[in-house]
Amino acid sequence: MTLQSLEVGTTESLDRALRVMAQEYSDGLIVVTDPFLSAHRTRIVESTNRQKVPAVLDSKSSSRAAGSYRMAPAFPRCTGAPLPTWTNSQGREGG
Amino acid sequence: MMQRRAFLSGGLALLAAPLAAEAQQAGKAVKIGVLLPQSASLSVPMVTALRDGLKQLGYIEGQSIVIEYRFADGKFDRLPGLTAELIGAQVQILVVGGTTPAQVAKKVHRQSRSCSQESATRSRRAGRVFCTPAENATGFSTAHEDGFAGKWVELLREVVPRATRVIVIHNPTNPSNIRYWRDIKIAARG
Repeated sequence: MTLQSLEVGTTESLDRALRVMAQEYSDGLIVVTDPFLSAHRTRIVESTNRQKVPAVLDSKSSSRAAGSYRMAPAFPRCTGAPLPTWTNSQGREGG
Repeated sequence: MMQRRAFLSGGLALLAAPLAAEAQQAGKAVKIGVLLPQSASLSVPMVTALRDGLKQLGYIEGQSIVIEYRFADGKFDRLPGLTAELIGAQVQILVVGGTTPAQVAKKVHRQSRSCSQESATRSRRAGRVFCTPAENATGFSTAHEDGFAGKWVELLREVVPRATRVIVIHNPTNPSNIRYWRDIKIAARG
């Protein structure tokens, strides 16, 4: 598997990343959990939908909007590690 | 006058109740500042959860608590100004969503404070749960174990078994994203 890294931390870099997504072929997309990316998830989801690329997104609302897949931790706990929870676009969860 | 301001990152936690109790004993509503990185519309789930959680603890907005909201609309350069606005509004508790916004808000808070109390959270590695308040800052952050982000690759492989070219969008200014990106690269080699 070859990874293409798109570093996004500003609106300008987000614009560039979305242009790259539109221009370059990919079999899939992973959007890492980050407050900036979450804040701009609407644009990312719209782009994902246009490209019809399977995507792993960071939040349930994003994945539902995109019909994509999401994996996020359960609510963090003060003791022990959080249990990973898988949620698909229908909101079904599994371990 | 704001003599003590609790600083909560990620959600309400330990310092909220004592402060609110003090204020309630004095017959005053506690003023809470909420700073979220997204737009107001995207923040609805968080705001709703916050209100519900406070309500379950007996804190009713408009009665025992007053909440001032600020939304950065995804424009992180607005975070310092929005934090300053909330501090200027004399909030007693700051609730900040997200590691990066919390770091920005803490910096502004530290710089703006003319009174004596040390407020900053001790330096902690991003991505850890705050089990105990550090000075007057506490909260939680996403506590992913090393290797967690590799699960995203596994999930994508389940959906697209023949995937050979994958785009990864990440934010290098977020310390947790550096770990995620490392995990993803390791998983992609597997």
